[in-house]
Amino acid sequence: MSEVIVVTSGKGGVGKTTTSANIGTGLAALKKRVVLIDTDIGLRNLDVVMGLENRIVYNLVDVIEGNCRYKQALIKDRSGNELYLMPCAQTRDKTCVSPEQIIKLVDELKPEFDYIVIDCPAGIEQGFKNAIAAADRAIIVTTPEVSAIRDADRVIGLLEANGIEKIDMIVNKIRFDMVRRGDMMSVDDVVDILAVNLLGVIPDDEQIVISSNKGEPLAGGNTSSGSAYLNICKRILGENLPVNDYIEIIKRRPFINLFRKKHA
Amino acid sequence: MSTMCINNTSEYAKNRLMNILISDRIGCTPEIISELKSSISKSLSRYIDIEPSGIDIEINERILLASVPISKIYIKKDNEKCETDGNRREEVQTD
Repeated sequence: MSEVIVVTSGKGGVGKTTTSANIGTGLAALKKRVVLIDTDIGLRNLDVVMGLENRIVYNLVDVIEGNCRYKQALIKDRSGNELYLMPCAQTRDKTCVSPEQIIKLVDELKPEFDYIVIDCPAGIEQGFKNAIAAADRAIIVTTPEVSAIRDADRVIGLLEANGIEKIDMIVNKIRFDMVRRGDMMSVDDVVDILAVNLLGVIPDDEQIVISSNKGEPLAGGNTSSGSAYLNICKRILGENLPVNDYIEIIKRRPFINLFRKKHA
Repeated sequence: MSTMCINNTSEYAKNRLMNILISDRIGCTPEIISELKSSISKSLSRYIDIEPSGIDIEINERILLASVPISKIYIKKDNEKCETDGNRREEVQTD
């Protein structure tokens, strides 16, 4: 039984593509068969974050228009796990694909994969409608900023109106030092306001920039965000891990600072 | 520690966000919300003593919830019209 997950946010730049790449990588590392579909036609980026940009031959639009079979467009990830990318077209626009066509494609992919992860473009127009059309569940990515949370609230409303009931949230790019100072909304604030299930918290981590420079998602690695992503994947699989693993990071920090001061 | 925060910007952000979300969800401007608050306050104060500054409006799944702090309620035993639901904070004065 396969599950179709759409990763969406409304606002751009909050980390949808990075999250999609890491969820795909993490689920594949947990021995699931995963396909990532980039639906950001005209502004594709998932291929770059995955480090697969040089292997693209066919894309989503080619498959939908019948220029190739879907297997010809799939690119296998370098990790060796059962992870595939369906890139999208860079030279077309969102209107060349309809929600019905996406549903048909996803139906074709379902028997082959355990998880189909759809990276949604920013905005709530055609691209968004295409991306959510086939989804069983949604993961909202947001950051602790007024604009991102406002857009997330709007998107949650639209998802519910489209019959997607299972909606989880990832709070991304959180800086615990700023939360402690009172200069950034806390995870609890965001959860209170949006009132959706919290799937995980990703700290604002320079390792994420480094990993996108290299084109290697870090889920499962030994960085704090890598393990946070892996925990998110385990929760997606239904494992009952406490969501408050980020609290440990907050608690640990002051000790590290004390230690540094002593030896400075 | 020198960082005792007087300017708690996260709290400020949260309040702004709450107001934005309310007007987004109803589809009207923040000015209309404050007008709504003041007319709720006007019409309620014709009947009961309320604290207009404490009016809070929330939108939860298509239900508008206005919580209005009541400062005093006079229950006259011979007048049934003044009964309240008792869920609010209230000071009952009996004489």
